[in-house]
Amino acid sequence: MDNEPNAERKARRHAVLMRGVVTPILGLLAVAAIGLGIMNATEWKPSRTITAQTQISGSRYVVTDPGVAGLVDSDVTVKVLSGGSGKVCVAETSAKDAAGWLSGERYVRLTGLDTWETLGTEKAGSAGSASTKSADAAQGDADGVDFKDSDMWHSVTCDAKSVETESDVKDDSTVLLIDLGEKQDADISFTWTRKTLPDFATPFYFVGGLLAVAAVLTASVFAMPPHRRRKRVVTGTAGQLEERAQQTEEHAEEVTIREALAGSVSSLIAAFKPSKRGGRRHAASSSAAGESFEQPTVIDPSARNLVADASDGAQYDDESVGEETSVISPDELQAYFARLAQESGESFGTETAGDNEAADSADVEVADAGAADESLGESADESDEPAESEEPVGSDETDEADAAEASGAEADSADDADDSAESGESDESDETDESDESDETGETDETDETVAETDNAESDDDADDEQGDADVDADADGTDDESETDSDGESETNGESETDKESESSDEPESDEPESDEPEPETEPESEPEPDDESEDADESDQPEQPDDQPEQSDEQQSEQSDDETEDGTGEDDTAAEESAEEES
Amino acid sequence: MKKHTLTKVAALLVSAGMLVSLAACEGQVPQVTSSQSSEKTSPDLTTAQEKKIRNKILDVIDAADAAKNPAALAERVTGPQLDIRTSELTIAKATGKMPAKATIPRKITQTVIPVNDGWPRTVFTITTTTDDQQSKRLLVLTQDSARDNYKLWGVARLFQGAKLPKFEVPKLGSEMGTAKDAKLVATPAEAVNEYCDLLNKGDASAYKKDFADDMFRDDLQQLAATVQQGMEANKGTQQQVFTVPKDQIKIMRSAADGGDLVVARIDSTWTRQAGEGRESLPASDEEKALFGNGKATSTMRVTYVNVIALWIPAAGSNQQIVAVGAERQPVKVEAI
Repeated sequence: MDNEPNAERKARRHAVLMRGVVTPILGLLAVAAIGLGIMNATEWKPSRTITAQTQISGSRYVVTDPGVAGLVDSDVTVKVLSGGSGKVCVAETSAKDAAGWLSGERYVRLTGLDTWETLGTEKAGSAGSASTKSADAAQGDADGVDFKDSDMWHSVTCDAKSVETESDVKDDSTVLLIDLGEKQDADISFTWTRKTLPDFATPFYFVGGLLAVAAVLTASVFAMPPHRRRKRVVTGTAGQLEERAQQTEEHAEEVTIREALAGSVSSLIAAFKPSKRGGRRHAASSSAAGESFEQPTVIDPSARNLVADASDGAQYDDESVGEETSVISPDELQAYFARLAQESGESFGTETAGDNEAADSADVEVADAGAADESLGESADESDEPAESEEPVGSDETDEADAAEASGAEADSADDADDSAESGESDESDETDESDESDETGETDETDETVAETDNAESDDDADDEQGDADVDADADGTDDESETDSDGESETNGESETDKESESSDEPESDEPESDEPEPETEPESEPEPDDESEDADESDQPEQPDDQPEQSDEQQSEQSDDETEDGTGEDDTAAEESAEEES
Repeated sequence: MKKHTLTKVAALLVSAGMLVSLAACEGQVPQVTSSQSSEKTSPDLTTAQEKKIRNKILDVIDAADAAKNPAALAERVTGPQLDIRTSELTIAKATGKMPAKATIPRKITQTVIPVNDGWPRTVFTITTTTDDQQSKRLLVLTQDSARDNYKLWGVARLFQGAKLPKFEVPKLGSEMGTAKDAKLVATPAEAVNEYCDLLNKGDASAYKKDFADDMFRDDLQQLAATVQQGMEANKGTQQQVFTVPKDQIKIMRSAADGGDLVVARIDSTWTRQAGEGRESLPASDEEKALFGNGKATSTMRVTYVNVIALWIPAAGSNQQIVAVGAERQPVKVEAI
C-alpha cells in the first residue's frame, strides 16, 4: 500500500527527532536540575542560625509581641547593648504581666521579622503622668519594686550595659521584656538556631530524576513507531493483527453481528410461535451457538436466569440438569424420550396431562437448561421422548402440570400433547406441581393434562404440546420446569412451593402422574397414597412412563416426597405418580 | 506523538523554572500568627512562682522573727497580718519568744491561683499542720498592683475538722471573687457584717440561724464569761465591740462547689472598767507587753485584730455559713 512507505519514513523521522533532539534536551535539563539540587544542598543551603537585629532609640522598655520571641525557634538568644551605662535587664514573663508592668508607660514593641535580618519595631504605650513617673523614679520606685525584683517574671537577667540571655520560649503568650534602665538607645539582636531547615534540594533531585526518566523514554519507547508499540493489541475475535486480518476481523465481526441479529430475530419469532420450541433465549442461544461455531460451547447448567425464567412465559430450562447426566449423553436421552413419548402417546392417547406435561416439561427443561441444553431440549422437546426423559428431571414437568392445573383453563389440545408427555411427565413432578399449583381440587386429568400440556407446550417450545395455551401454564411450567430440574439435581426455589418440594424429592414425576390422572382422588395421604396414586397413575401412564420411570425413579421418589409435602390435595396424584413411578421402576 | 512530547518537555521546563525561584536560600520569613493564647485564661502564677514568692515572704518573716524586729516586715507583709505580726514581734521582744501560734509551715497542701488579668490579685495557700500538730494555716497573699510584689495579707488558723471547698488545680486557676458576689446565701460583705453582728450580740443576733457554730465564737464566749465573772467579782464591767473595716476582705470563688471562701478582717475592742475606783490592768502578759509603760486607769481598752475565714455556700443550698478559721491578736492596749 502507499501508506506503508510514507509511514515508514514518518516513523524514521520521528525516531530521529526524538532521539536526536528531544532526548538531549531532556538529558541536559535533568543534569541541570540535579546540579541545582546539589547547589541547594551545599552552597545555597539555608543557614542554620538566624540573627535579626534592630536599633531602639529613646525608650526604656522594649517588649516582644506574643509569639515573636519563639518565631523561628523556641530557643532564642537575646543580646542587648545599651547606649547608656545603666543596668539592662531582660525578663521572660507572660504577656499580661508585661502589659501590667508597662501600663502607663511608653515602650517599643518588637513586632516580628521584617526580613531575615531585621526585627520590626513599633512604638506603643501611653505615657502616664510624667510627674508621677519622675517622682517614682526619684523615689527609686517606692511605689513599685525594681524591675529585677518583680515576682511576675519567670526569669530575669540583668547586667550592666549589655546583657545576653538565652530563653526557651515554648508558649506563644510568653514575651520578653527588656528594661534599659532609663530612656536610651540600644541595639537588640535576637538569634535563633533552627532545628529544622527547609529542604530545597529534594524537589530539584526529584525533577532531575523525572527528566532523566523522560529522556530515557524518549530515546527508546517514544522513538518507536506507534504501531510497533502496540504489540499486544488483542482484537478479541480472530486474533489477527495484520491489517488484512483486521479487515477480515471486521468482516468476521460483522458477520458475527449479523448472525447475532439474525439469531435474535429468529428467536423472537420462535418465541411467539407456539409450534416452535425454545424461547427467545433458547432460539437466540441456539442461533448464536450455531453461528459462533468457532466459539466453544459453554454449557453451564447453573447459569440460569431464574427471574427470566419465571417472567418469561416461554422460558423454562429447568430440565437442563437432566440433560447433563454424565453417564447418558443428552442426545441419547433425548432420543430415548422421544421414543418413549411416541410409545406413550400411542398407549395413552389422551393420557393424563401429566404425561404431556412431563413431556412438555421435559422439553421445557431441556430448553431451560441453557444454550446447549436448550438446543438439546428443543430436539428433545420436539419429541416427547426427550420430554419424557426429562421427566425424571421433570419435577419441573410436574410443576408445569400443576401450574397448568392452576390455570385450569388449558385447551384440550394440550391434552393430546400432554398425553404423550404426561406419560413421561406424569411421573415427574408435574403432578406435584399441578397439585400444588392448583387447588388440588381434583381437577380432571384433562385439565391437568391441558394445563400440563400447555405448560409443557409452552415450556417445551411448543414442539410437542399445545403451547400457546395459557401463559399461566407456561409460567407454571416454567416454574415447574425449574423446579423439576431442581428436583432433579438442584433444589431451586421456584415461586411454586410445589416445585421446590418436588425438587427435594423427586416426586415430581410422580406428581405428574397423579395429576395427569386427576380423575383419581387425590385425597390420599402424601406419603402413603403415593404408591397408590402411582399405581393409578401408573395405569394410565405406566406404560409410556415406565421407561421414564426408571430413570425417573429417583426423581419420582424425590418428587413423591416433594409432592407429599407440597400438595395436600394432590397427594393422590403424588402418590399416584409415585406409584406409577414405582411400578414403572 | 511529537506534539505530546513537546508539551511534556515544555511543562517540565516551566516547572523547573518555577523551582529555581523557590530557592530563596532561607525560605520565607516567618510571620507572627495572631496568638489565640491571649484569649484563653491562664493562671497568673505558676506553682513554681508561687512557691518562690511564698518562700521569699517567709524568709522575711523568719528574719523578722529572728531579729524580733518588725521593721523589715513591710516589704512582704501587709494588711491585718502586718498588724498582727508586728504585735507579736513586740510581745516577743518583751517576752523573749514568739507565740506558738505564729508559726507558719513552709510546706503547703494546696494553693489557689487566680486567673484574673487585673490587679490586685489574691492567692490562697493552705499550709500543712505545724510540727507541733497545730492546725493548718490559710495564707492569703496579695499583689496590689503590677509594680508591687506579693505580700502576706492574712493568716487564719483553720479549725480542726473544718471542711474547705474545692478549688481548681493551680494549672487551671480559679476566679477571684468580689465583695458583692451574688448567687450565694449572702454576699461576702453581708456575711462578714452578719458575723460581726453575731459576735456582738451573741445568741440575741438575728442571724444566729444563718451561721453554724464555730470554735472562734465558742472560745470568745467562754473567754467573755470568764472575764465577766472576774469583773463582777470586782464590780467592774466589760464589753466587746466588733467592727468591720472597709475593704479588708479577700474572696476566692470555688467553681466546683459554687460558693465563696472569704477571708476578712474584723476589728474589735474590749473595754474593761474596773469598779470601785480600781485600776484596770493588763490582763495578760501579752497585754502587759503591749501596754508597755503606760499608766493604768480604771478603764482599759484592748484593741484586737481578728481575721475570719468564712465559707459561704451557694444560694439555694440551704446550708449555713461556716467559719472555717480565725486568728485573733491584741494589737494595742491603752488606758483610757
